[in-house]
Amino acid sequence: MDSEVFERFRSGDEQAVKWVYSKFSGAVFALSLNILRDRGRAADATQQTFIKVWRAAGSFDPTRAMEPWIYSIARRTAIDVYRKERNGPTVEVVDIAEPGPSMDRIWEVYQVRLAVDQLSDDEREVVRMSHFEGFTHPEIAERLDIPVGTVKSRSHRAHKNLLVLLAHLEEPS
Amino acid sequence: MNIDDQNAGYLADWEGHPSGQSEKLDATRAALREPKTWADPPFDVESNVIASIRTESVRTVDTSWRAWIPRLAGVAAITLIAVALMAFWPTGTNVDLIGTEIMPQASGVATLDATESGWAIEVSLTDMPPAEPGTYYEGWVWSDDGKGVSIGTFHLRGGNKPVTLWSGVDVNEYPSIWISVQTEGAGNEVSDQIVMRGRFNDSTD
Repeated sequence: MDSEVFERFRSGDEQAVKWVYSKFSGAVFALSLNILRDRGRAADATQQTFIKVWRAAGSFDPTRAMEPWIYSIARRTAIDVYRKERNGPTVEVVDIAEPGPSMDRIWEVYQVRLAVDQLSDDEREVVRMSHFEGFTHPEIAERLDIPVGTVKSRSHRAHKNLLVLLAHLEEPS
Repeated sequence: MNIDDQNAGYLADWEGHPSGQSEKLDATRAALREPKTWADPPFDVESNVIASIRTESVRTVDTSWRAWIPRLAGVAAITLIAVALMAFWPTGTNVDLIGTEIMPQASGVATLDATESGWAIEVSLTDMPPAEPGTYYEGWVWSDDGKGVSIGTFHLRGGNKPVTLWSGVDVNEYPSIWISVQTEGAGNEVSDQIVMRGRFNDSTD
């Protein structure tokens, strides 16, 4: 992140806050939804996460990657929401001792969503339609009313970009 | 035909990646098939985040002075402030309290009375529910440069009877009054849940 944008974010500048939110909200919500399995609670956790991120921004070194830092805040926040819902003690936890996705899996979902959100709208749509909706290239072409060749080139470009984006993401600390 | 078969052709880029990456690609494919990966937060979350940060960015609670100012000096200052304020604020000044977006139906009036011990602030509230178990309400006065001072806590579990709060700081210097919902054991800082606001010098007697 540009250091000037980060400084503006830290000072509460609305445009900078919107920028950070647009970049990370999908991934934070996906992470929260995987842990909490409820849209309403995941929305609460997402909101709390961004407020905590802003509050903690003063102690964050902007030369470091934001992704693992926001991930750790989001994960702790979702777990706290989960604990409070169960009227349990609010404590620092390493993992949730309940059936559900592993933390490795949640980290993968977070990474993948971050990467997908960095694709162009066209590329993102093709990836979503092929993987999530299960459409073939001709079916996507028909639905988007574009040539099959265009779908293939977008798909090729999108998957190539995803590989690059995911290769550069580090493991959470 | 399953989705992997359908995707096989145009995932050639991934399949051609060096071995050792296949597990990662499988995990990526699995994540891309997962509805939760594609879910977006409700639209109001962004505006709530921005509103909370906007509210909080104009204030920074400075509590460190509490640890350093000797009690006797505090008492002396409060006494001086109370005496000084009586010259500016007539007894019985009323302040309108308005529910925020969190509790829009709530309303109330705070009546200020200068005493020799400080400001007695009697708060009469309407349509404000009792605090939920594990939470309580807390009154605050705020300066325009973002310093907040607690003026007391209450729960309303006995009904919406008037509550008396106390301010030992100059309400001319701390002209905003807020009521927040606090969680027991969550510390002394004001929470994000501001449910009512008012401003002393915006009200009339």
